[in-house]
Order: sequence, then structure tokens, then C-alpha cells
Amino acid sequence: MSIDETPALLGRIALKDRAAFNRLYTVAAPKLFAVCLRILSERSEAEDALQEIFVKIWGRADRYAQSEATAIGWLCAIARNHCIDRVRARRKPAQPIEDAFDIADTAPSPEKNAINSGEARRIDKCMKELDCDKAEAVRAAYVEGSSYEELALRYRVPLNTMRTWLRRSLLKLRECLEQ
Amino acid sequence: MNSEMEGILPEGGDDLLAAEYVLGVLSADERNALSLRLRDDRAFAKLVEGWEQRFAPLNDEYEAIVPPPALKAALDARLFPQAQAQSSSLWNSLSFWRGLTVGAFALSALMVAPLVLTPKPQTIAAAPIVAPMQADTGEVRFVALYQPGADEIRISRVKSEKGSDRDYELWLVDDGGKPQSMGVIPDRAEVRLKVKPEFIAKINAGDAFAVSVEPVGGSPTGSATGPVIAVGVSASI
Repeated sequence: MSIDETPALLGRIALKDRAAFNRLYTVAAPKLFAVCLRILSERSEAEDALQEIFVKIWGRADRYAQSEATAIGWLCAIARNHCIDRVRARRKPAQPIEDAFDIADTAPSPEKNAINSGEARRIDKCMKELDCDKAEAVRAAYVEGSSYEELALRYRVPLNTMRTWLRRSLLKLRECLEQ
Repeated sequence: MNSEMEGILPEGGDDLLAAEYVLGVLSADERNALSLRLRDDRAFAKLVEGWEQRFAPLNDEYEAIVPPPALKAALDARLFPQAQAQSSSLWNSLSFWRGLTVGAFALSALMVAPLVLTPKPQTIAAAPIVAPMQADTGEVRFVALYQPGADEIRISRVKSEKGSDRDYELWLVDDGGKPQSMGVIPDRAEVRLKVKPEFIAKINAGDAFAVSVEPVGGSPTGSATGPVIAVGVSASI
């Protein structure tokens, strides 16, 4: 998608310009649909979620102006938050353990990672400074929307240990990224 | 490892919480609480934004997948139920359309009653059309009444304020969706505005009318340049 055109499109959508909304859908829906499919796994649920995400974008485009995010980053954040909220609500008290493993196991093949910006290389470099398991847990949490519970099952450690691992990893990441 | 079994780190505080929120690892209850907090805790929102930016490069892992074409149609039907035929424009705002209530039509019926009762001689039998034009708060600000085929349109100003160095301008938004100026509305409570011949055949029930505030003499560009303060869809009465 063209990253350059999305900020202007969001500006026009804030003024309720439907042509801009249609254009944004064309350029951004495939990316956001990928987010939905990855986090929600199930196709029909991903389709529902994508609709709801675009309803939010239509209603909230004016807030993009106040944010410092890139347009695509802002759109992905809306999509990820929506899907993660949805998946957490769905799996609320008793998610069968097998399901959690199924979802966790759909990890991306590394060669699919399109790394094309300096920023991307930087976070990758910092991720490499973490232990392999821990970097993988951070990546899975972000990309697949895994919860602490799912990660704990996946790495066969107690929940609190998982949380400690991840929090320490986040601190290291922050330190590395801020250098 | 044993020291890590505590599960709680003393340092980090809100910034780590923001990181966990962005990462997505928290439970439904924790996420709900944090999204509420994000609404008015600007400092916390900044921390969240910071982590969103740090992690943004990982978005590259989501490889585009084109959604089924029917999905966009369903989305449009959901977002724009009353405006399927309209194309883009500033005042095709969902809140405007939603705000258009039965009550507005009832009020406008009262407003136009005197206009209907004292018509200029007309031989055209078609039902008049009326358009209550509302602010986005739902308040009716202008009512337009038009007898199809007539060369004038009547405008009642219900409630509105503008500076003396400004004019109201009336716009017709027909099926094509592009607003066309019908002229400046004289600054009186009730006015008859001349309708140019090219508009006479054009105006139909279902068209939208809107009023914007413009420099004296009307928009210099042919498009609304000032705020659109009222908008409404017309209907036959």
C-alpha cells in the first residue's frame, strides 16, 4: 500500500469524505484483514471484525491528527486492539488448552518477515539481544495477540514467570531502542 | 530464575503497563480498565503511543490479504444506510443523517403550514417537498419548502446566528452528491429565493439541502468554503 497517501486520506475522512474512505479501504483493508485473520484465526469472525474496524476508522479519523503515529501504524493499532479485545472476550474464562496451542502454533515463517526500514532493522537488532525464547514470545504476543496465559502454556512456565520474562524483555527492548 | 518467580517488577510502572497493553498480553478485564483510562489520562496515552511506535515495525509481519468483495458493500450498507445514492461530501456526515428525526419533520410541518396556506397562485398539482435542515445537534435551523416546477423556493429560518459580515448560502445535494449553490439566503426569517431554471427540473423529494456560512455575496469558489451549519433530506408532504 502507498504509505504516502494514507495521512491525506485520513484527513479527508475526518471531514466525512466518502471518496477518501473508499480509497482508504482499497489501500488499507488487505493489511488490516491480515491482522484480523492472524489474531482471530477464524475467517467469518475476521470479516466481522474488519467491518467494525472500518466503522471505527470512519468515526475516529479526526483523532489521527492528534497522534504522532504513522498513518499505517495508527490503522494497525486500531485493528490490533479491536481484534485482541475480541479474542480476549471470546476466550474469557475457560479457553480449552488445545485451542490456545493451535493458535500459538501458527507462527510465521521467518522468511515472510518483510524488513525494509531502518526502524524495522533496529527493533530486530534489539530483539536479537533477547534470549531466543523471549524474543519469540514478544513477537508472538504482538503479531498473534497471544495472552500471558497462552504464552505460559506454550512455553510451559507458570503464568507469573511468563509475565516476569516478558516484562524484563520489554525493559531490555526499551533500553536498546532508546540508545 | 527463582528471583523471577515473584512475577512483579518494582520498576517500570505505567510504562510497562502501557507496553503490555500494546503487546496485547493482558486479560479482558485489564484491557477494559486500561481503555477507560486511555480516554482521559493523556500521560498514559502518550506512553501507549510510544510503545505503538516502537513495535510498529512488527506490523510488517501482517502480509496483505484481500478481503472478499461483498464485505465492502456490507460495510457501506451499515455506515451509510440512508445515503446509498450520495457520493462523498462534507455534509454526508453520518451524524447528520442519523440526527434527521421524525420529530424534525413534525416541527417543520408546523413551520411551513403558514407558507402552504398562503401560496402564490400555482397550477402545478405535484405535492410540495419540504426539507428541515438540522445542525449536527439535531436542532432544526432552516426549513425549505419547494413546489415542484415553481421558480422560487421558500426558506424559513428557525434558529441560527451568523456575523453581519457573513451570508448564508443554500446548497442542493442531489443524487450526484455534488453540492450546487442555489444562492445566498437573504437575512430574514422568511424568504423566497429565486430558483434558476436549471434547478427547476432537478429538485426532487429525497434530495438533500444544506446551508453554509460564507463571505458576503456567497462562496467565491462555487463550493462551500465556510462551515455547513444545517443539512436535511427533503420529502414530499
